[in-house]
Amino acid sequence: MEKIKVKINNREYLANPGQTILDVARENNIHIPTLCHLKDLTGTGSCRVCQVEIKGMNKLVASCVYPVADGMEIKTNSKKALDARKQILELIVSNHSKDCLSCIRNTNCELQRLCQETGVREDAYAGAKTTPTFDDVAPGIVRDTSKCILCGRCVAACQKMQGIGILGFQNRGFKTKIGPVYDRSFADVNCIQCGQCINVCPVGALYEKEEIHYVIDALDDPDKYVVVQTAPAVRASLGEEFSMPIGTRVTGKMVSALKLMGFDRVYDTNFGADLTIMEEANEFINRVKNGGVLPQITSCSPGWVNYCEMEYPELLDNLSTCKSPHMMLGAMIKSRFADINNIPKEKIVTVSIMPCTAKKGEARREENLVDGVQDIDYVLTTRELGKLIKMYGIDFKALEDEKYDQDLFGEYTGAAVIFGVSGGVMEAALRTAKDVLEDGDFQQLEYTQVRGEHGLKEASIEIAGTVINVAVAHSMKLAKPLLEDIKNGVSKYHFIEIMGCPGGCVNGGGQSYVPAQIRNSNIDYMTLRAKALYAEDEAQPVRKSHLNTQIQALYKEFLKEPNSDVAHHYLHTHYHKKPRFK
Amino acid sequence: MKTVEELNQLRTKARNKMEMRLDDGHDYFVVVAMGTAGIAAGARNVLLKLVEKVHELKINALVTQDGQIEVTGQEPLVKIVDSTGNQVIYKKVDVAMAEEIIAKHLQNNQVIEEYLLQEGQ
Amino acid sequence: MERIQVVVCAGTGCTIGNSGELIEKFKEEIKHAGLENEISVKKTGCLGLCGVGPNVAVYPDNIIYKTVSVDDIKEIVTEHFLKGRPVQRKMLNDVKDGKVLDINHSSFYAKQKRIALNNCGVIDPENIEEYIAKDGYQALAKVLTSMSKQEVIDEVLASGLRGRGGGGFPAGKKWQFAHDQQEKQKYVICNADEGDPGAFMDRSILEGNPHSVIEAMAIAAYAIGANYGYIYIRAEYPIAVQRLEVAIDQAREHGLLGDDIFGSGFDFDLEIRLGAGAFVCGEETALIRSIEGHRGMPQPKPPFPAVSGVWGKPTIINNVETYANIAQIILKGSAWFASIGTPASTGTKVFALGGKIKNTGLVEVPMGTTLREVIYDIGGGCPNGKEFKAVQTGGPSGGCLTKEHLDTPIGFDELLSLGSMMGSGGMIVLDEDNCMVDVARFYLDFIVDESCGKCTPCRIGTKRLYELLESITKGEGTQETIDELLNLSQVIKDTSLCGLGQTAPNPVLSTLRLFADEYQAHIEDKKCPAGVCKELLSYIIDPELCRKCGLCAKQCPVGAISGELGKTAFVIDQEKCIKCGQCVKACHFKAIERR
Repeated sequence: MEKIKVKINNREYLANPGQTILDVARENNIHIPTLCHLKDLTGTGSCRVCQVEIKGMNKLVASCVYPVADGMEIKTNSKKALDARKQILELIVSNHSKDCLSCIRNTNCELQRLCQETGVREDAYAGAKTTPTFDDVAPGIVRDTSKCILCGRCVAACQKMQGIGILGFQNRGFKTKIGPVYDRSFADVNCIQCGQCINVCPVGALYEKEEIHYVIDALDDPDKYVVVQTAPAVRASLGEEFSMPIGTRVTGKMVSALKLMGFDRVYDTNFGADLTIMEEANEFINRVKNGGVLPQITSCSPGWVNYCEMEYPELLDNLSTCKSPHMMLGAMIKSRFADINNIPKEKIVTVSIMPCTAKKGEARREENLVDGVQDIDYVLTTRELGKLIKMYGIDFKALEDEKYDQDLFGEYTGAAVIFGVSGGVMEAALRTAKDVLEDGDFQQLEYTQVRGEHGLKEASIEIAGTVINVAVAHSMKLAKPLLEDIKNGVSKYHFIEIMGCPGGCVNGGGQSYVPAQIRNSNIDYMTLRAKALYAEDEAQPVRKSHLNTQIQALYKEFLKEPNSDVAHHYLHTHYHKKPRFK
Repeated sequence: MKTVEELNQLRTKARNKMEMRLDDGHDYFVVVAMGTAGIAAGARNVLLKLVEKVHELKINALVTQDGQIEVTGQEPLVKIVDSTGNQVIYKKVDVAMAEEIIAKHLQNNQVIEEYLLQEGQ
Repeated sequence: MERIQVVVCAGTGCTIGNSGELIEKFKEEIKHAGLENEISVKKTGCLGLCGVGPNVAVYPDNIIYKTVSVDDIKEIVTEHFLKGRPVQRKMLNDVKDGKVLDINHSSFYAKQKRIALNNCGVIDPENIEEYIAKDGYQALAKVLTSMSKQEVIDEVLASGLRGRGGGGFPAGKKWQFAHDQQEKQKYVICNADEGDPGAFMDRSILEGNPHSVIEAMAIAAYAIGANYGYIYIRAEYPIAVQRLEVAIDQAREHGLLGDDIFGSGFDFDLEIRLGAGAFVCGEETALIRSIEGHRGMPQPKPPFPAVSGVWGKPTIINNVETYANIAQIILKGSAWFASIGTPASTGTKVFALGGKIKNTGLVEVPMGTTLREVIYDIGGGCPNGKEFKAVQTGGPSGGCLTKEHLDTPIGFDELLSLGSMMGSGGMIVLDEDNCMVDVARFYLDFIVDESCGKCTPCRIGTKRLYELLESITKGEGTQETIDELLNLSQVIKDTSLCGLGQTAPNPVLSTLRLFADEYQAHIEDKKCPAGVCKELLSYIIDPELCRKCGLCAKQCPVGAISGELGKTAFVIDQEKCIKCGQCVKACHFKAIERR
């Protein structure tokens, strides 16, 4: 393609026809502030912050959508453009909640940063405010429209990224509001609680329902025995809460911090993941041998489970009956652990640190209760843990690495760690299935065909003479065609992994915020975080779930064998069709 | 309708039905005096005959009516105005005379002197 | 044999005045008089003098009856149809020396030239044959059988026809852009959303001459290489929608829509899409989004619809009135059209004349006609002896023009240069009793309600602009308020995403510039000179003139007036007074003054 010449701030640059002014500026390290712009997601020039001046035009243009043309002369920082940007922000601020000091995004808010960058110094356009809506009914996500700046990123995330679309613009003009239909609650519509909307929200209009105070109370209560576990994906993102580079693996420091905070036991959800593989792989083998419903679909992503119950209830029998790893571990803590350590289970408080917002609802599901007791009492997101660590005055970066508690549930394999990436569950299951069915210990255990943070993955694996077709989907958008095929009876797969979030748990709704500047750049944060987990997998001495000796002991001494009635009582669940609207 | 021909045929047919709303020029204006005196003298039949004949013979004339052209006792009166504005008034017109007026005056531009309203009448 | 044809205006305005009943009553009385073979009664479109409707036209007499009610009809039938004596007191025609004059020479019609409205008031819009009688579909036939696509576009270009919806963009240029796109699938759209308050030109064309739009869309489709069209019409126009549906059905029946029209191999069909009450959907990119089933929010341009429009395909969108001119341009030639009006603004423009004007209604004049001619000669000037103050053109996107501008020839560029714009054709006349600050506030109120909410400057900015204006009308404004108004207006103009926001400040800027003293009075003196802004008004009883009758106190809905009957002068409690003005009406002695 022939390049064209444009001038930005009096310097000449080469560009491709069809690029936007913002594209060209970015390529040449010229910073133009943006707010609503998220590459490939939004992109209709609504906030008007990125305005620049073009010679010969008396109106300003939005650089995020305006295409360059040969000979165009652009000024990104003329007084007119600078003034316009400041005034646009002043207008936004005039219809925005002013309680920054008590806002969840204080010091981490894109609006704050822009106001500072553009020199907003006064409450310039005081006037009426749009009537706000505050919704904290759903277990995982809170919506506060008094802070919404109508950038539309959440709408795009739900509609385009997930293909669900429960958030939309309603009313018009000054009364415009973003929310579920008729401004109802997330709990009233088919929201799967994945939290992708939170991840893209630049301000404090969407955030997780915090449970930090419950945990602090429990830690403070001498009568309670507080056991914490950490999901694999958390260790790849927690460092970002302390300004460490994306994808820094902070497992050791994380454990150290948790111990310093006073948790009575610090375990790794990975043990639960190994347990899940034992149960799920055997469930799969049983289905294959005994003509059970196929394809079997994984069930460790509560976002995906919610989607299945709401949108594809006819496929509930395809869902594995296994609980998710942290729930399984929680169930074992409140039974096996309680017995061995002589602690009444009512005194045990289980806390999970998750990259996920949907898990907050999952912990409270009636179907997951074991003898009337929740496996997990509280779920904290990665972000909440970050806050907790800071609240307790711990200097995270300076911590030494420590190990998880080793008794009963301390051992975990590399197969468990990769649960946090898309394709991880599948790969872990395949490692165990191959060994078990062919009665061997295969060293070739990396199934790279199912790896990757973008797009659908498929593979055909030969195990014990049978070809098993597998698929790995992440985000409901990628999952939907697979589900339609199953519904229409034309699916060619035997085993499918579905994760609610695009990229898997490393991009969960509870992970550290990735600001727009990084999302719009070439940095692939999902792959960076995934790399950390694959690295931890490679570093493990044992990389297959069934070789976990503590798992073996647990079965021998308590659970008997996978899918036994004991196992079913604690580790399996059931599902219900959930109505479309309440 | 599949051809332009058909369109043109339909156009002609339709124009026929709504001539008086079309603003083509007319060669003649034919005004029949009505009013109670006129109607009593039979002006309506004259009017209807003129309308019928003009249409049938496709004469480019507009037939209309008026309240009273003049009070003369010479009804039914029929005024003919040509395109240059010249006008004559026929008196005591009956249906037969109407047909004659059409044939001679409208079709051949021949004024029928003996039927004209005289000065002073 | 028919000798009289009566057409009764069945546009929305006259229909509300019961023109439907009139037709039935006419038929009844005509039958009663034994005239049913001589006289037919039909519906027709807008005759123009909407303020005195329902209007009825009688052909070939060229007489228009105004404000016809059911009670007038017997008289009209007996006196006019039977006895030949038109009922003069109901006529719009002038009478000179006992002679009824041609309506076309009346002061209302003399300076008009009806091109877009040429069939309105003449044909029955629900009968395609009458449209065909008036050369309907001849232009399409000519185009399909003897003109190439480029020739069609060249004619439209040469005619100088500029968009009549307000943009004023040369229609031929738009068609050329779309024609030049390589893409195989293209579309034509008619923008019949007509959202400007007080504008009903498009409505009247669709109600009175719907085929003109259908034919033009087919011609446009041929020219650019499209085979399908959409008419996007606001749902608030049910009569126009119904007329269009009838017209489309009849066109299809006659093979004028569908496959292989006139055996030329050209296929074209179209469908109606209803709007849903959003002014912003008159903006072309929002309209397109609406057709596609999305929320009607404008999209950034470029890309322009001619390159990427509905369903991502090249699309031309033209206004109803623009289309209404096309057939005649093709038949009579571009030179004919270009000879009317002015070189830069060729042809005519339909205006909806409203507000403080004697002759409210629809007028169509050649471009170049002055405002004075439209307002005074055609419009009759301001009624009730009030003095003309300003005329607002272009709706909420336009500005005001004052006495000193009255001799301006009407044209796209001329109006722009004066700080207003042609807009779609709404022309609201204002007199001494209108407060210009309040007028600006009214338009801004409309904009605030209709803003789609997508971009910051329009969504929040116009609201703040409105709040500033409102504070002035309440007497809370300061000099700083004016500065803020000017500053914020400029921001909104420069940064809004679409035309709605970009032109929203125009009424404010225009009135600030031309009526600065009125703003000053509100700010400095806390007074509204026109007596409109309620907060700034006081009703005062002159104790000298007060007869102590207590009539005013009786009328006061809030009990703000007190006094002793026959003994003491009555007094209005300013705190309680809600400025309704009932006391003034009640007082027989003109003792109450509004200041």
